[in-house]
Amino acid sequence: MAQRLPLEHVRATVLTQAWAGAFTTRLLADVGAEVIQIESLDRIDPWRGGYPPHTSGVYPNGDPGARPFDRNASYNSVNTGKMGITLDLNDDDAKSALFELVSISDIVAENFSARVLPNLGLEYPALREVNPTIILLRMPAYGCAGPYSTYMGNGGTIEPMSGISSLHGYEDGPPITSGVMHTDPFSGALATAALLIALHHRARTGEGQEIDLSQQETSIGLIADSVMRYSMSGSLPTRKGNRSDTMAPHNNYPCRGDDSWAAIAVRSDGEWAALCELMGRPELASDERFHDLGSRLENVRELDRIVSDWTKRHTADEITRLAQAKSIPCAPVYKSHEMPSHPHLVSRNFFQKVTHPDTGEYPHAGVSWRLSRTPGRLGGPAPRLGEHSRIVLERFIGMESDMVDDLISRGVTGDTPNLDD
Amino acid sequence: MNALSDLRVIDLSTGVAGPFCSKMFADFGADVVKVEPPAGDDSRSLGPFPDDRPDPEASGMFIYLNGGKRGVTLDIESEAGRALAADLFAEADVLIESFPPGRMDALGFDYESLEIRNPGLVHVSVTPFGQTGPWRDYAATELVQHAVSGQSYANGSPEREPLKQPGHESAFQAGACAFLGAMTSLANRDVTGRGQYVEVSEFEAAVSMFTSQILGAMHLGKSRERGFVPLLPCKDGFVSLNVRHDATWEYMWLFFDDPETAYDPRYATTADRLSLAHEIEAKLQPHLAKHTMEELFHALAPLRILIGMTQDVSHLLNDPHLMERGFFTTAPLPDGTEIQLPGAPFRMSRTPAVNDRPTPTRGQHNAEVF
Repeated sequence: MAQRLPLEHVRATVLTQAWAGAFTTRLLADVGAEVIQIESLDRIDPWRGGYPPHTSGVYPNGDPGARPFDRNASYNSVNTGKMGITLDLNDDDAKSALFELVSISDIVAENFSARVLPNLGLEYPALREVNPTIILLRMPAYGCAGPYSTYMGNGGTIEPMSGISSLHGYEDGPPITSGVMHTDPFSGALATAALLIALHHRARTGEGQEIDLSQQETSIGLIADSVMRYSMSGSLPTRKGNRSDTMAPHNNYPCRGDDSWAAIAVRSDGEWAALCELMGRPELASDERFHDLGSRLENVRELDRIVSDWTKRHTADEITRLAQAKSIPCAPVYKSHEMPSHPHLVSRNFFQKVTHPDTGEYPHAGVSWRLSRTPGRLGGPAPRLGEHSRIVLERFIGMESDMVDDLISRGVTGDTPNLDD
Repeated sequence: MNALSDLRVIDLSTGVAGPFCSKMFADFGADVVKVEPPAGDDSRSLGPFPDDRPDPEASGMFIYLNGGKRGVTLDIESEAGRALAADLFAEADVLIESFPPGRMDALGFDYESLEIRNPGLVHVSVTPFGQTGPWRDYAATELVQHAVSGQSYANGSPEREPLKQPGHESAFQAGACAFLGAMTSLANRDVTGRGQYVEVSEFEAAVSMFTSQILGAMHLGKSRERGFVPLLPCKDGFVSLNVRHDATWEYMWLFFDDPETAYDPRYATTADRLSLAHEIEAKLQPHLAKHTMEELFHALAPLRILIGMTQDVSHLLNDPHLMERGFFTTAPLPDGTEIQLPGAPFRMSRTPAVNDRPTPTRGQHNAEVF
């Protein structure tokens, strides 16, 4: 049997939101799964950026427009290829509709704190009653069990709680959180991995199961080396900025141009000698302050000053070409808006244009695992709030259209947020 | 029962990304054969080491990444070694490798040749920049991947150099993406019976994680400014604190026994509070200084306030929540002592991760595998 996309036989009904959860289910959509995202009109996905007068999103040219929640980059980037419906799950009719969707789905996923699903009456046993083979993914900040499981968390709490912040920052400064909340997409990718493992098991046994992913735990995996260092020696790793124990020079160095930098990582004495040649200072290779890793680490400030004196005279692109010609790991420190025109990514067609009816056409980062026969793709723009409510309710579960009208008139479904004031 | 116990994975990769991909297979029960060159995998030189003394059988990262795998050695540069490898590939469900672009082809192991003997084979390649494109032969490390993916630029102080994140994050991201590629290919194989070639570039994996940041930058025509969120000092460390709702704002100040601030109309809405952020931080400082991280966390988190303790690794290993969940696991060092390391990344109710996972010594399973 031919297949265009590897998961085109899979349907997921999901309550994922914000970043980690929404990214998880977008990865499913990238490879062909039909993803039906359920949102609430009372509390729209925080990544939609709110509604006037309290908007907090990133909009094209900074203009929120009439429906800012359909125009926010955050939501629109991690929900491509999904269908979006709205349901007030405190309403009995809405809950019945949800259970009907669960009965025709393979996967249910959510990333609320662990108190929410039980409060909604949507725990695994209840779902299994309507669909014995359902796979349920839950990915609260602290997981589904344990004393912190009902506490709320996001990237800003996970970074300090997972130990990452204690290691993050300049060597002479306090611990920091990145502000990027970078643990979210990593947890999301691992959550998708868990779903694929569960699908594999179900294909062999017909058994569904429940997955408990703690974003704190997945994030601790990112600093496994530090956990083991402490466990081996009892010594606490310290903040090192960009510096390394095993490579020097190892930093982002200032280059010619506005706020322009190049990353250089020298892995061996041979690479150091090659860099000295490039800098026009071949004598430094045998200088007793720098001749081996130990001496370079001991004199790392002076080392960084010498490298900076050289990098400042060149653009980051020039530094990269010179260093890479000697196989020294090096690259410019890119700014996000430069990524879609990066010549390497352009030559590999990595970015994919997506046209959203309310924002226009923009390049989106594509699918990073490239399958030769059945490659994934971004399956169309993120849904506008409630865009597919009627289609899904009528066509997927056969709800009468006057019933849908009734749900709309009661604010249970629809496309306009219920304002609390 | 293990979810992936029907799968045989041959892993020739080195470093962190490829081995992390095959670690996920091993965690959930696949038979993973780690293939090293006769001299041993270079990644046995990755620390940490006991007493900081390099020992190829005591590399922390090697133990973390390769527990639960079988280990064999073969010299792929020799004809006999390539014949052994070809036999392994013929019986495998998944092949993972991280050779430089073109190297597998030169060895005669291009996918077109491999699928003749094994049409169901899923061949996963993980490289720094992918098999094609002007940068395909460029060298990279974590520092370089954080730089090219746009992460470092946004991270750190505007007055200073951009900062990378700690650890091996971009390699883990790429390893996770490689696993997704392998598993989706296997799902496709269930339907079609055919394997396929999966190409992963660490660069693209890292970029794909930050699609939202990039789309935002395209909307505004510029990257976000470099910055960080300062952690707030308290009695014995630092906490992150994020109060989003009017009610939780009041709860927090009532906990600090300061009803005047709780009900001060100047701070009534989130917008008001954002505009007075510096004033509020100064006001918070003396209250935070009176309490430990734990006191603040256990008082404020139940009030639905986003608060995090800045835990170091010693805190993590003694964190009552992680202990109750049994997150950390152990592995033996050559001298018989046990070290603690992070456990499986998620819990599966029917198919739990495999816990008994010794790390293979170099060539330990040559006889039984060959």
